[in-house]
Amino acid sequence: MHGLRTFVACLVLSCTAVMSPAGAGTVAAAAPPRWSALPVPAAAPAVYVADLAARGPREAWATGSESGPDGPRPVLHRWDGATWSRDATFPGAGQPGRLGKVQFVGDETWVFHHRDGAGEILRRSADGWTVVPLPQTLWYYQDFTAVPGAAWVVGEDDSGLKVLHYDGSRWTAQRAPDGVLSLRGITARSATDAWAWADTAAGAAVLRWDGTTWRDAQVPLPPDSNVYTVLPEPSGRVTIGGSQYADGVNRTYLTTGNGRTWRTTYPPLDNASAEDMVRGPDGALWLPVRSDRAFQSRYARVDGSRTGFSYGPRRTHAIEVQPRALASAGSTLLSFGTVEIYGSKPNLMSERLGG
Amino acid sequence: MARRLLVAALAVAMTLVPVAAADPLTWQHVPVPAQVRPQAGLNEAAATGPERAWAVGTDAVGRTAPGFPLLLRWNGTAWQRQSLPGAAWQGELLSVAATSASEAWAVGRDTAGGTRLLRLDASGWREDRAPRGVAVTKVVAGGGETWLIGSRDGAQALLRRDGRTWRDLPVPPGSVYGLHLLAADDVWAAGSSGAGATVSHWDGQAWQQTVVNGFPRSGVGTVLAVSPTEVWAGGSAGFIGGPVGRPIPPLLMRWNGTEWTRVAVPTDFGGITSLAPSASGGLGWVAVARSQKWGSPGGRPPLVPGPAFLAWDGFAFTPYDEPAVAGEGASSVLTLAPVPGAATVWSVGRAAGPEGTFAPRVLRFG
Repeated sequence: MHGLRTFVACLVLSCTAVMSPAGAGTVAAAAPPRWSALPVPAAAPAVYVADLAARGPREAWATGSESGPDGPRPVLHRWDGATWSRDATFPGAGQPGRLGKVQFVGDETWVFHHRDGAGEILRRSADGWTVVPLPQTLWYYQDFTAVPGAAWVVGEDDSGLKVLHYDGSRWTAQRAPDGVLSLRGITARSATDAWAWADTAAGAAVLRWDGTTWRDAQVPLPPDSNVYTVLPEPSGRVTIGGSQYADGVNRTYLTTGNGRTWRTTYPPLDNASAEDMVRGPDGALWLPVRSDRAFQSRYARVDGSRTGFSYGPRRTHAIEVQPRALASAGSTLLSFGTVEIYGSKPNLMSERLGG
Repeated sequence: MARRLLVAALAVAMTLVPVAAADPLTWQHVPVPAQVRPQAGLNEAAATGPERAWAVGTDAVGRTAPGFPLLLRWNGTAWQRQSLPGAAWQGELLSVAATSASEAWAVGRDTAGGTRLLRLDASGWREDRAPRGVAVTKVVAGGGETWLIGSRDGAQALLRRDGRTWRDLPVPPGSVYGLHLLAADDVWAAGSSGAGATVSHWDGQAWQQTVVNGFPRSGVGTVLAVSPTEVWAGGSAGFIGGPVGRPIPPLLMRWNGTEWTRVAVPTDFGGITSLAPSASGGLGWVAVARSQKWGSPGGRPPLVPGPAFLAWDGFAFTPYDEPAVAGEGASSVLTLAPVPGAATVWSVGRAAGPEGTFAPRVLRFG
């Protein structure tokens, strides 16, 4: 009898261990990573954060602008894996202008630079910074992307929509499909696989460059929707984030394609802008969302049908913490944005998940 | 010799007394405790004596994030933060009223829009069941009565504490913003309707309403009944057109038992947000939020700050400015709380903070 009792007790214990989602040893090992604050050299308010991109755990760049006596001035910060430092060695540093999107092209780092009303590309290699001038000045520069062998700048001039393409030696103007009124953004997986999101007379549309022509990618977007970002990945998966207006409210949607079919979901993101959505090191989609708490930022994690939220570190007297851009940096997730400490103007902040 | 000493002592005393009396009483800034996190604001206070008062509001309010309920206690020397019972919730406490020295009610609203009702008894503050379906904005106590002002499905609601429950009462036409409870059958209500500013009287059976000022969009939110022949109501005098933020004149109305008449006040713009009785029970203080006066003719700026407080001596008003607080601006919310049995009055509210923020403001007179 005693032996039977002991056997049953052991069976119960072993069943408990097996059915538990994580064994006791695993729980300690799988303690969820936390957000921590990373010091950032202050800039002159008012500050604006444009982009954050990471090549790996020991190299990331954050761009934007600060206030100067004659308008905005460009701001560039570099992450070396341990600290953020300010880079003022690029052409145009200290002069009026602002920095935009950061792209990694092979071993080089390319940054879009608005300078004196014109656009140019700052190109950083092992030899230092050089400038890639644009073939013409546009009224405004909507977006920029670059991959080995190709770069695009989209915007408008007095003749309308412009798609400027750089093949590494010369610029050409590309033709968008008929009916495209404007391009909202552009991104590329390779020189022969680029994606753009557009406004057409029929609504939002996603375009694709196949190395020869821009075509409507025929993505079945939700009706009455906007596209905020397109996230093509090396695996072939493409995730489109946007907002749909229905029944008087906007709601965030994600449309995901696997190369054969497209599927749309509506994660409970409270109409958060999917513009800054990235694929995190854990394989889930991450995006900053409006925090419901002062003193802390808030992030959403979308993993298939599951959506979870996490808060950044508590910051004393910070009445607003606004992450503006995210980037995967090795096994960590970097965030760059602004923080407003009560009584002072917003300034730069950075946070890291894991690491 | 003894007589000489007495005369000398009297002379000294007579010298001292006028000096003390001549020392002008002013409104003093009283700091909130360090536990109050920015940014914060106070909505209302209730005092039960010189050594006990309660103030309610919210703190840790973000630019976009809602704050947390804030309850402060005055211990006779300093304000201290009082922890709230039960689980933490986000939102703010809107109103507090004391029914006795040891009993009080506070109402709040959480971020889901739900009403939160707190009750203080001998065992401390605890959360009480709020009346179902009512968005309560204010609790008022007096004359042995405790009432709630709120809305149900968008319609005005008034509830009266009856034993252990809250019972709905009829409501006067329009909206009710403030009450003065004298007894279960003697209640005055300040409000507004499409016809203008209204004051209503409840005799235990029905409301009798009077439009005290018919100017469009005028309204009164605070009422003080001194006697059947002396009732005061304060608010703003309304407006027609004009840009957003255009200053609006204050409105102070007085009932003499026969008719309501408008009483002139020594400021040109602003809203009368609170009336407080003096120690003798008459009108003592009038609080004017965003008080402004015309500047000198042709001068710049055309409007200058006006008095935030008006002391009534039975015949005339004496204006008092809000004391300057370093790093902060003027109050946009002023709510008075007289201290029973004393000449002291508290004012709590919300002032302009640095960089477009707001800050809690506690002032005391006397």
